[in-house]
This record gives sequence, structure tokens and C-alpha cells, in this order.
Amino acid sequence: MGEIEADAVIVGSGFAGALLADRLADMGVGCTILEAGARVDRGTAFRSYLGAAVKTPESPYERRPDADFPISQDSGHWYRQAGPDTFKSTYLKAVGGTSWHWLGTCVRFLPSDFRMRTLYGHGEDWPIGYDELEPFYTEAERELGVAGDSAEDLGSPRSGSFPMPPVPRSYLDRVYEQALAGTSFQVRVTPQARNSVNREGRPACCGSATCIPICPVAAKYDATVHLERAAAKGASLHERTTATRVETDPDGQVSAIRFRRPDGTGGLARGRIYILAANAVETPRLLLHSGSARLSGGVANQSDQVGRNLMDHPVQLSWAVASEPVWPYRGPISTSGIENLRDGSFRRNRSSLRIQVSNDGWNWPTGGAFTLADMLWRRGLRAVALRQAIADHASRQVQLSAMTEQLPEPQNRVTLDARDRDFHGVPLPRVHYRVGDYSRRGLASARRVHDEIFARLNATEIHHADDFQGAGHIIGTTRMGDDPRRSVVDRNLRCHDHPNLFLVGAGAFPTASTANPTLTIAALALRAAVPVAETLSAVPAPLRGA
Amino acid sequence: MTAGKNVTTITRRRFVAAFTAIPAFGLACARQGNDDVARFRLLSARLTGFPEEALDRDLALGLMEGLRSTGDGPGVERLLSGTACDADSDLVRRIVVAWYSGIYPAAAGPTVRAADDALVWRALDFTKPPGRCSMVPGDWSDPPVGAATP
Repeated sequence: MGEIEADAVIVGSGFAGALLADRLADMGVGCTILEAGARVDRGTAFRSYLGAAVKTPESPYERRPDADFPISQDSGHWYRQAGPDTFKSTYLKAVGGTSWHWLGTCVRFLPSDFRMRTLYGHGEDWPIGYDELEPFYTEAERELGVAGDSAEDLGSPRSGSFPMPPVPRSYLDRVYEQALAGTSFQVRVTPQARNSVNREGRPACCGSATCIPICPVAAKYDATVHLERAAAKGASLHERTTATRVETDPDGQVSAIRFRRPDGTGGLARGRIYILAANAVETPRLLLHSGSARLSGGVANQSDQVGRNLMDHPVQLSWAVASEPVWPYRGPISTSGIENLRDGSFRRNRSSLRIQVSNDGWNWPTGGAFTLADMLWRRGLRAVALRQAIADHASRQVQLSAMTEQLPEPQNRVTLDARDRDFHGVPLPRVHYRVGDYSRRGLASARRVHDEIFARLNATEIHHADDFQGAGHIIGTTRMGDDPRRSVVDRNLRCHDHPNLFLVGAGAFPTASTANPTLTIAALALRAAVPVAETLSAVPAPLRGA
Repeated sequence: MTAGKNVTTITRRRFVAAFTAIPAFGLACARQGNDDVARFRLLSARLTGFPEEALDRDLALGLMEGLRSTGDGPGVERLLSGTACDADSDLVRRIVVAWYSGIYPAAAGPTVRAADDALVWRALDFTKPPGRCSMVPGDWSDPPVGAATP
């Protein structure tokens, strides 16, 4: 057995864990991070991506038996799907977590997103409002390094400017903008945590166009930025160290995190404060697995809400061929979006939409340029005609993806599989998932909107994916609320049941909005730093050797 | 950085003209060349529409070996010997797709043998292979050099 000791024990080194570790280290709090995955060498990972015959978000990253994770090409790997729909979003286990393969989009929630129950009769109101979170959005944009147009109104009022000017928009963006002039569809610059200028030791984006699954030059923010900063201030990180159980005292305090390593050894990580930052599948899995005679439903689960209300942003993916070249396959994967369909009275009846305008041709739906020769050969094109058709077709490919808001539903949940266990003996996550009518109506609306937009481009070969796609946004399994009977954590992300246990990440979101979740994850984590530190100061230091 | 390719203008007019100029296909046979690789390159040039010089010899060898290792040896031999000329055969399709995608058949499963050198990135002469920097950061804001603005 081994012992790890620190003031604060953090499980998970993705966005939330890394930001909070850095912020707590600033406050003089001794932090240690337990990370199931290993460190990633960017060059090695990039070469793995290039060498992957099937390119998925997970292609660059090594899966190890002791730190396995879900994969895009096999929905039954890792997840035990209980249906009726398939949960399609994945995550990584690595130092830096899933920040390695995120897109980089940093859109704020709208003020109305925090009041879905009051305004539209669906979901929940958050216990905090937009105004309360706004200063932390501004702080998060500074920490992550968000490039954006501060003058542009995206519906979320700002108290500060973006720290960088926007990443250059693509030519394709301007084609959309011109085509949609005079319509209700407003194409806007997407704020993104991607350097538009050299900043803080990282280069400006050079248009590698592989943001997902990996930025080869580190222009895109990932959590290793804050892990390195935290380490420089004294925080420690234990890679390939998997948290397997949360230990609690009879008085309701968390007393340790039990961990295991690949060689079969293990131990206890002890602190005064504990922070789970694993993600909205792994955090509830760990809590549910930590049950005892006293806590038969698992840790932090007096409300029976742990694992429930699992959400994603079910995506309507559509693609077509514009009448004239738009020159895709250049620049970051996306530099614009349509942001003005995210709110309205229609939210009483159906989901709102956030539409991403993509620069990467048909990559997502078909494999893009890699599969074009096969597609056009099958259409009868040969030799020089084939070569020229490939260039012509690729130059005109357009793709839209509309994220819909999924409502929280208690039956959509992560539980523990009764049969299958992982390398460490912890049950695999069983996922119960259904995309409800509210979101389905949003997906149908997205198809109509996409048709209208494509018509403006005089597009042909219009395709709509038959079923929803996963957005990679795993949300809502440890919901935040003021009522301990209906929520897992309070407005400061502290567990109602355990005063020295905090749960950070998108699991805390009571509702999903249509905004990509990372900036809100970051803002909430930064906001939690002061309550964590205050709680720490109130908890006496343990008697060593007692 | 991307290889210094010549960026050319691709217009709808040029595409249509090229397409209509191609006769009914029937030229998959390849009898010339001193060895299998040379003949395979010549065959591949005719199938892909790229000049023989654009088709790397090592990659040609790798593709031939990959095809042979997955049971296509006899079919390749027939194509090389000129005894099979079916330009629409599935084997021809797979040869063309492999050259363009850079993903070759192999006994262990499809394998990336050519990343930057996959022909698709030569066909798409308005961009560069993924993972490589643009010639000039931000150049994605404008049409490619030499492209006609629609």
C-alpha cells in the first residue's frame, strides 16, 4: 500500500481538475491530482493519428488495459449500452483528459439557459444565474486564451474583452454570410480557445485542420497548460493512478480516495478536501461504486440523483455540395456558427439549435477527402476525369452540424453494470439513454433549417444523417441545486451529503443549453475555487500518525 | 509545411471539359516496362490520371505487395500481363482508391502507407495534407492563390 497526502486531492486532470489545481495552488493550497491515464507525447500522438486508417477522435491516443475508455467506432466498447438509443459521446483517459481532442469552441450559455423551467416550462432552473457566473466566464476566457470578436453580440453580455482577436475566418464563412444576407440566419465568428497570435509560449494557429483529434502545434488550448502551471507552483500529479473508491467516515466526511496502479499496487490518497473532476460518466461511476453499509446507494447519493439526467447535445449532421467552390479543408475545423437560433419562445415546444459551420468538408459524415475517390469512381468517373472530379467536388463540399438541447430526464442515467468489470475490478458504466421528443423535434427543425441554408448556396447532393450524432458533450449526472432531495451538489459544487467533497465538470449542469460545455465547465471550476479554499480553512489538519 | 505544389485554377468549365473529353474507358492493360513495379506504375498512371513520375516507386511496390498479401496477386498479374482489361473491376477500383487514400491493403488490415503522399492531396491542389501548416497562417480566409473567385 502507498499513501499520497495533500491538502486537496483531485481526481482527474482534464479542464476542471487542471484549472482548479492551478487556482488552488495560487492560493497556497497543496494539491495532488490522481489521473488514470498516462502522459501524452504530442509528437507520438500526432504520428499515431497520421498512421490511423480510420481516423476518429481517439485515434492518436493509446488505450491501456488499466485506463480504457469508450471509442467512436464501437459503441459497445467500454459502455454497456442499455438503450433504447445508443449513447455516442466518448472521452479520453490521459493526462489532460479529453481536452486533447476537443474542438476548442468557447461559447457562453445564454442568460435564458439558466432559467429553462421558469421561461419555457422544461428542465430545471439553475441555482445561479448568468450574472453570477459572468465574471468567471470572463476569467475563463482569459485562462484558456479565447480568441473572439468582443464587439459581436452573441446574446451573452460581457464584462470584459476576449484576450485575443478572432482566429481568421475562413473563405467559406464569408460565402455563407453573403448567401444568408437578408435571411434570419446570422453567421457569427466563433469564440475559440485557439491562439490567433503567439501567446504565453504557444504559437498562433497555422491551419493544420486537425483540431479534432489533435493540434500538432499546441495552438489549441488543452489542460496540460494549467497542469504545467500548477506543477510549477508545487502541485503533484500521479499518472496511471486510478481512483477506485471514495472512502467516507461515519460523520459524513470523505476520508480518502482509494487508488490502484497498473502493477496491481494501490493505496490511499488522503487530504482535507476532495474534488472529483473525472467527467460526467466516470465521476458518477466512482461514486456509485463507493457504496457501503451506511451509504448503500453510493457516496453523495442520498438524493438518488447520482448518475441520472445524463445529457448530450444530439447533433443533426447535414452535408451538401455548393454550386461554386468554397475551398474547404483549410484552416481550423470551424471558425463560424449560427448563434441566433439558440433562444426563442419555440423552446416551449422544441429544442433550440446551435449550428456549427464546418471548414472540413465532408470529414465527419463520410471521411471526407480520403473516401472521395471511391465515391466518385463508383459514379463512373475514371482516370483524369476522376482526378479532376475529386478536386472539383472537394472544393465545393459544405457541412453543417446542429446541436440540440436535450432535457434532463431521470431515466437517462449511468449505472454500474452487473456483470462486466474493468482492469481494477470496478463495474463498467451501463448507460441508459433515450433522445426524447423535445430534442427529436429540434433535430427535425435542424433538417429544415439546413435545407434552407443549402438552398441559399444553390447546393446539390443534400444529405441529412438519418439519426442523431453524439456531440462529445457528456453532461448532467451530478446535478447542481439548492434542494438536497433533488440534487447532488450545491451552487458551489459541494456535495450536499459530504461537506469536504466537491464535484466539478459538466456533471453539475442542471440543463444542457446548446453551448459547447467547456467554457461553462471552466467558469464553474474557477468559481468553486474560493468555496473550496474556505472549506479547507475550516477543516482541521489531520493528526499525522494518529 | 506543405510541399511546394503548383496551385492551379479549378473551374467548373475546366472540370466539365475534362470530363467530357474522356472516352469510354478501356485502357487498363499495361504491357510495357521492365519489371512488375514499372508496369504497375504505368498501369496506375492510366488508372489514376496522374503521370507515372508522380507515382512513387516504393509506394507502388508497397501497394503491389499489399494486394498480393490479401489474395489479389493473380488479379494483379492478369492486369500487368494485359490479359485482363476490365477497367471497371473491383480490383481496379481498389487500386485507384488505395493510391488516392494512401491506405493500402495488408494482411493485418488496411494500413496507412502514404499520408502526405496520398494522391488525394495532389488532386486537391488548393490545400495541403491535414496536420501540415498552411503556407501562410490565415491564408484560409482567401481563395487559394490562382483560384478564380466565384
